[in-house]
Amino acid sequence: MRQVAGQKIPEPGNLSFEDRTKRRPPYEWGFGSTPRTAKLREGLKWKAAVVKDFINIAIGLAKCTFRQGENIKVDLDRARLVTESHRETDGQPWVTRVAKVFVNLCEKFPIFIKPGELIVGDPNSAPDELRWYPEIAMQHMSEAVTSGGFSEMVTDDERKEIVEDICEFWKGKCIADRIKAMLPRDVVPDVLAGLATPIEAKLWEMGIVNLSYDYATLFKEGLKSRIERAEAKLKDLDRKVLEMNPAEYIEKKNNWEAMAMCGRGIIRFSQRYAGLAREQAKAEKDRVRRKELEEMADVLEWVPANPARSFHEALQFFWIIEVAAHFLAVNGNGGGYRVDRIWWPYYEADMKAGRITREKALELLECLFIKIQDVGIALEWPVTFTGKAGGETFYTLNICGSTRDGRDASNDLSCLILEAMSNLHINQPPIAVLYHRNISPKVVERAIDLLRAGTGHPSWFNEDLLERWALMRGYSPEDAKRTQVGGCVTNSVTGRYMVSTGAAGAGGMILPRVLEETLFEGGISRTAARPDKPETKDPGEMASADELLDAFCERVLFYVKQMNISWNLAHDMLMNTNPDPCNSLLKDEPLERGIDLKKIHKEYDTYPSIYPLGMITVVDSLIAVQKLVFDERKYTMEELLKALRANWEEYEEMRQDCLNAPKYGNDDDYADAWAVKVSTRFEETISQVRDAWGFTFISDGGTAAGYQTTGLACGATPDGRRAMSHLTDGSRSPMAGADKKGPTATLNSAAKIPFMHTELFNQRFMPVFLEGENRALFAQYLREWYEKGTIPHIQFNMVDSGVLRDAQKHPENYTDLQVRVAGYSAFWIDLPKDTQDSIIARTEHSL
Amino acid sequence: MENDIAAGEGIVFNIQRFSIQDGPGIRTTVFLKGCPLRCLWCSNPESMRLSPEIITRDIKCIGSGKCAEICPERAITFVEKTRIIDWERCNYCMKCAQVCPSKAIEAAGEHMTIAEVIDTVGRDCNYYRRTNGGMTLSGGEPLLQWQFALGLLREAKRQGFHTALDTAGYAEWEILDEVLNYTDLVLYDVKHMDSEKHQEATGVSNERILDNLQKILAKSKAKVWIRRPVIPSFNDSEEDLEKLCKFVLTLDRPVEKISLLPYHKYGELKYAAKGRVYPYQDVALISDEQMGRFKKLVESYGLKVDIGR
Repeated sequence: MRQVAGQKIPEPGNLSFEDRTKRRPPYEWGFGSTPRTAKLREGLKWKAAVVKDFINIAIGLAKCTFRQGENIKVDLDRARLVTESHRETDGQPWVTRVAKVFVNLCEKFPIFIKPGELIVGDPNSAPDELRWYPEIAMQHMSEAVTSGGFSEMVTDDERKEIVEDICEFWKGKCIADRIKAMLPRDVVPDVLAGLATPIEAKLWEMGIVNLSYDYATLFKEGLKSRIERAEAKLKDLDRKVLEMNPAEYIEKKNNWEAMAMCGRGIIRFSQRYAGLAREQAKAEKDRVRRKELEEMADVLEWVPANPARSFHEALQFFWIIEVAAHFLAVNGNGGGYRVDRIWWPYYEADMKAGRITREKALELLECLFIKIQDVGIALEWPVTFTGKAGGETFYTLNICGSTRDGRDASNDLSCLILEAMSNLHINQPPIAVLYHRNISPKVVERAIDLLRAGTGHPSWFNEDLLERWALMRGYSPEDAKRTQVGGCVTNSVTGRYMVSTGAAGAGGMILPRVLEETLFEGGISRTAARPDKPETKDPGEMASADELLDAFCERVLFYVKQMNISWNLAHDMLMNTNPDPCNSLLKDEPLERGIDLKKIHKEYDTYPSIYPLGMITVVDSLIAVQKLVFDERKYTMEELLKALRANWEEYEEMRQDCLNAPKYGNDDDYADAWAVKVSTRFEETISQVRDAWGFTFISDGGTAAGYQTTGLACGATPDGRRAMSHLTDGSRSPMAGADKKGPTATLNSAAKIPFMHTELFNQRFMPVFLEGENRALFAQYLREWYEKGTIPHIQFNMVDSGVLRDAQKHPENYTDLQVRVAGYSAFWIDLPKDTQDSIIARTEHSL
Repeated sequence: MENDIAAGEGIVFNIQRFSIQDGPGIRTTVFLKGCPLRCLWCSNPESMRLSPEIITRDIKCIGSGKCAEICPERAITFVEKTRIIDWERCNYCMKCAQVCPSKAIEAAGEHMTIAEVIDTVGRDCNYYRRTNGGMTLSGGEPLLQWQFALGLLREAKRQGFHTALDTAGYAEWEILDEVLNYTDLVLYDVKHMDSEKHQEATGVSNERILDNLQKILAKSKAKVWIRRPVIPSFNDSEEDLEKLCKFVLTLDRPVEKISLLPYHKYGELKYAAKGRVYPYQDVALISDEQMGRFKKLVESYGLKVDIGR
């Protein structure tokens, strides 16, 4: 019998790439499994803002600077084309106007193919530019290019065009202006005052839309068949016109027409790339590259119009949809797909038929990941733009997880994805490993290989808790099985659910600020209190920190109610006056029903989420108050408040006592009980409030880098923290430096808090813990994290030599830094310089 | 000295969780205070005395002056904002450590009961179960507080934890013999094969140490890891390492492995803080290459070897 020339697919996890994680770069030609991807990576523009001066950024003075001194510019093309189309469609139905904007973009948006690329598509018109969305908000842009953060990112002519033409046109018309005009006067000071208020509610100004498509279905159908479905619906609609309510007829007709228009737009967009590839092929002298370009043109002509037939087609299908629908049509952020499953059938078939090699598949994945890295985040307010230090679009690729019958869903593609990330050393896309009972230990080992590469990837999620989250939010058990991570730590349900319609949650709540108000407005600065805010008992008359917690929660409730007002109004406008026909076409239910995606959103979950910033700072503060003021009676409340007002100036002794009070994260039951109490009470408090559609408020642990910027707005806190310094990172991480008992104690502490919502939990490790035999221990540590069953997320920051160098220069800032070099744990400040040097060298070496 | 300590209580100077080099798996290492040896390179000088003493970290001092106020011996003075301790006068009453607000003076050594120690150790029992880890007793020399050590090991075994004993072996055999009943693994330090050199650098000769090692392998069932700190210009010669290997091969049963621990200077500043001169101040660290050569040498004797940190 004749052998099929197929390739054997390795058992998941059998091929280690640990060796390559020890080298920098991993290949002799650079960061990438082939010279091609290494070169593409080398050509990347780094579009993440570098934060040098948080204070100036917060007050809008600092210029945005970029990593490696890149000269990144404002992309005008998208804004220009959107504005152009809107000018021409005055008076037409809103959904039609939006569709025409999208078609205009698909027709005219400048496209490029870089030398060597195999996967194409970019939502920025040039590799060194970043897009923006004037239809969402304009005020920040006209300020930022004039005197603020983006003023060096435009030419004089461009500045003039932005301010006088584009922004002028959108003034009063963009969604942010329309929402602002609608807010009741009493709510404005609380939700629109930036860092002057404890709540950061105007997330609609970023306009983030978080989508998750059902790619398994899209790949099988192709867009043509979906357009045909919309057209068939239109015909059917005309037949039924007599039986229908006219308003319903009009709405559906407009929607389906707009959807079909957008579908054709996406196909046109892809065809344009095909045309460009053909053009480049003609001019190409290199025979190999010419053939590649011709093949790419073939792929781009076929998908996404038609069903994907190969791994290459599946990846290109995926990426062209993302670029067009997720980033060009709307300001997409997050996402989240179980990619090792949706791409698997194509990889498997290609391998079996001998159409592709494992090496080629790896290269294609790397090509795609480089494109994802290149997307960058849209230009928002300079403060939030830089606040997302690292330039995360939170475009999370989920891997592993279990099948419906509980078996491990990991496959060789999961491992190839890990390997590609390890080769490239880029920060996008984030990789999320969905950990479950039957996860393959070998695949976990490969994920540890990637962790060892030192880029912070992957993060780990407890799949059981993703499911439980979906059930808690009212999804069916079937939907719950299709939940994944689609943002920082925010979840999404495949195909079903939009995480956000244009406001990524109800907003952030800077909890130490709320505590500050509770402490001061009830006490020594009562005059500053607003009459409509809850009246707080004088803290001097309180008998325990529990009473303080009561008053704190009362104030939290006040702010949640304020947020609810703006949330309801903003959300109603986002759902009803900001349609999204492009993405409606790509989801089954809107296409089937002829109703805009955003309107259907409220039938599932509007997800009025609150980002609890500095939760653990409040926990540690209440512990210190209970311990020093009530248990030991070492200080009175009045003395403590005086010290806080003075930012500890002249109160260093008291500050030291506060710093040395028990802290969450050390497996200390006294301290951890407060973490449980404060987290639970907070959640109970916010969940008392339901939005206009009946959904309860819930916390979301995804606080990005907000702990640094928002820390600037906070005065000194009773945990010993000084004013204007950073808060705790992540909703369940101990304060940096406060966890002194090592990673088992910290994990034990974190596990005491019951699972109530998504969380962010950071752990710091020395790279040596991922070496040799230690890896097996680390894997068991992870297992224990999963088995604890209450912590939805964990991620590991490897202590890097940069931190240690800084600690060498400024030991006074690192008096609590312990280096746990495997066998020995020592305070950094106790070590002589040459020993410090050797630890730094070792840290660098092993990264 | 041993009799000062009630059986149920001892002096602990540190409990380190997530220890992963003091035996197999994830462990908790309990450091007992007091050591009969006086190794010149000792990185934990605060572990030598049996009773509590103070350790200082000047960088944390905020100049509150509280230590000077409370010191009954008037051993602490401040010049400007700099705290100066007259170590001759200090009698380790520990009062300064109790009042220091910033932990610039801290107590090394705390009286703890067996129940208290085991309570902390037990908190990580899940990690032990997953990784075959457990509790390690270290020091100082844990056998100096042998009744306490015995109590801890017995209780740890009763709770099902794997137990390890990190010892320099300088104890009466009868004590060791009894403790071994509750010990799964012995981490056994052999610092030098030459007794005179041993005496010079550690204050005691090595006969009893080598004798005890022989007996452990002859009379008990405990597994043994030999630990060899590699100290510059003391035992960093191939000759002594060869002697050690040859000796190990004469033992009644094989040891599990030999761990070579390169000398580090973790202790240096602790000496300075006490106004003492660290005898190894100017000694260079051992290079990775040299450690690699030593490793090969041990391997050439057919012995399992690793390099610790």
